[in-house]
Amino acid sequence: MFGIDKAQKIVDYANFDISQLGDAFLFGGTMLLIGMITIFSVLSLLWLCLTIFKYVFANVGKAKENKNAKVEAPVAPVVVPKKNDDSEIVAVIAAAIAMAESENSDMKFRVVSFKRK
Amino acid sequence: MDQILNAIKGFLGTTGIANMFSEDASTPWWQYLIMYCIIGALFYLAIVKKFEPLLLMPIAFGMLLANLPGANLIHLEYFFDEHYFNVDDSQLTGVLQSQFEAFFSFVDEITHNGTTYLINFEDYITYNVNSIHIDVDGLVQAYEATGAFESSEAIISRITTLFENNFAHFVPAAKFDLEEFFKAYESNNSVAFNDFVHIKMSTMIKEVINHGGLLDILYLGVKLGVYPSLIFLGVGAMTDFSPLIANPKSLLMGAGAQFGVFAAFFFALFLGFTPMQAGAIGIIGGADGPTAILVTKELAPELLGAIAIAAYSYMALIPIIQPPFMKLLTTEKERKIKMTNLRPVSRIEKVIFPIVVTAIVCLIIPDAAPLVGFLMLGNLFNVSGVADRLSKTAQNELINIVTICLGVSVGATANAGNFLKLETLYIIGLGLAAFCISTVGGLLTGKLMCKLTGGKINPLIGSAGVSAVPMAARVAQDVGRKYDPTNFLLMHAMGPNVAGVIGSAVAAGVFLSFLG
Repeated sequence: MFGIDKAQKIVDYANFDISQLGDAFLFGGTMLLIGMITIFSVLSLLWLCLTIFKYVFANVGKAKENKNAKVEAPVAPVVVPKKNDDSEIVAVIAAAIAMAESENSDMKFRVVSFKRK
Repeated sequence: MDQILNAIKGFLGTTGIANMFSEDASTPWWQYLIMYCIIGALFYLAIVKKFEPLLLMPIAFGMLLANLPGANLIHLEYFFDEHYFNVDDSQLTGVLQSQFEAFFSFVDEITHNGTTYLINFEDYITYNVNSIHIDVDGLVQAYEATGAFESSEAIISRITTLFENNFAHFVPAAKFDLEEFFKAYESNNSVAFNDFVHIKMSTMIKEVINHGGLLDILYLGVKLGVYPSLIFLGVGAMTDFSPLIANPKSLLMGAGAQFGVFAAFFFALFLGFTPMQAGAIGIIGGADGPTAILVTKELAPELLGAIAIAAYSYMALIPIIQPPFMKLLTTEKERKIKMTNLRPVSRIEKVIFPIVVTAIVCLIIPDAAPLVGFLMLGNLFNVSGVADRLSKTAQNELINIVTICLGVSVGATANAGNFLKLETLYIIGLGLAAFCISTVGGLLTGKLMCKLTGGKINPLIGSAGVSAVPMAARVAQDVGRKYDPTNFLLMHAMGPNVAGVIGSAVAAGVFLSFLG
């Protein structure tokens, strides 16, 4: 007689008598299926968006770089090559810090060797 | 002399020890002793073993405070649904009575073919000694007599709308479960109105303000769902989502690792838990404390203490729980897979990411908004680069203060009477099962992706999909390095790890929207 749909749930457990093994199995299975499908769908949608991100913003970045290059080209015609590459020093300092920190944490680092290029 | 002795005797009678061994005590003394052993074990794990000390320590201390006989620091009866008062005649006094009377004397005006009909609700509502009855059939016939309605469904729809619109207006302190009322009416053809009326929130807050103490006030933050969102704000500000943006495939591993949530839900139903309790237990598998607390306070607040303790304990035990499954489900060759470096992520991507995630997730599952929304707001503070002060506050002072309040008040819900039950053991067992199955789900998804990408993905990082940032990612890194010391999986594992945070928030939203 009373058609009250307003608060009707997508999976309404009132329709299942979960004290019965069969109904509990059915309800639990339905929730498992719907829950996992929802999670995979939402996260797949995010995956799709992030993949689009990659192409859209890579092009934006490139366009910016090209624009900058065009502007800068006449201003700085001579490029002086850097004599000192800091990356080696950075690597050595990072390794030393990591070693020092590893004494007090779960991360155990050990510097195996240093090689000069 | 007698007076002094009586005073001493009176004082001794008020001590906690006297309360503990009193014959009138609601909790037997041995239950307190068991609780003290459990509290001692939690302190040991937090302080000596350093397992999640920032949360386990306040939780354990909150438990201690809640288990001091006679102290009565927290009054759970103010908060739990089953303690809402059903309205009966004895409570229909003062303002509440006048509000109810105003509602009962509501007059609906129907104009049809130029004639106005007045339907006075008072004619169809009768009081007797114990209850208030509504003559639903009489009311429907009165509406039918107006000729303004095409069907009885239209009449019921009108009555329902009137109830919904006016009941809250007249009786703001009460909640009327209309759907259940009509269901009961359908089966019995007679129903007591007052069985479906509950005095709600405003009474709770009134009780806390009038009679509550510090822990009651702190617990309001849990009850109203304030703390989990604020913790997520801080977590968002501290989390770097770049590994996820650089390798969005890892979202799938975060999704696969939510399998344990629903599997534990499934098993909990078989153990006799209600669907709402089963949902709260299942979310332990999401390995996310604030998420578990938010879902539990909504679906099964009576289990909050046990679920929060299980969730945080297992999160702390991840380095012990996960490695056996990681070894069991992967081959040595797979464990040695080296992944290529992640691409650099531009600032604009980092800024747009939280906005897009919030929009997509919350538009699909609005119930996930309190978690995902605040997680992403915190992250936006951080990556935008223009709100350093807010970002620093969110990831330092704010999260620390909220952690203290959350830990103590959640711990305080675990008093002996509430905690020492068979169902707590079930919850602890189901929580462990949820963690294990989630780990397996993440690893299997990782394995599948490894196969599909021709061996480019190390399946070990799948285990990090269980959330628990950054502990789970560190475990993946440690296990990977055991087999190849030059393999650095940490950043790769952070992708599924932060995806797991989003995944568990979505799982929470699913439970809240389906069961809440």
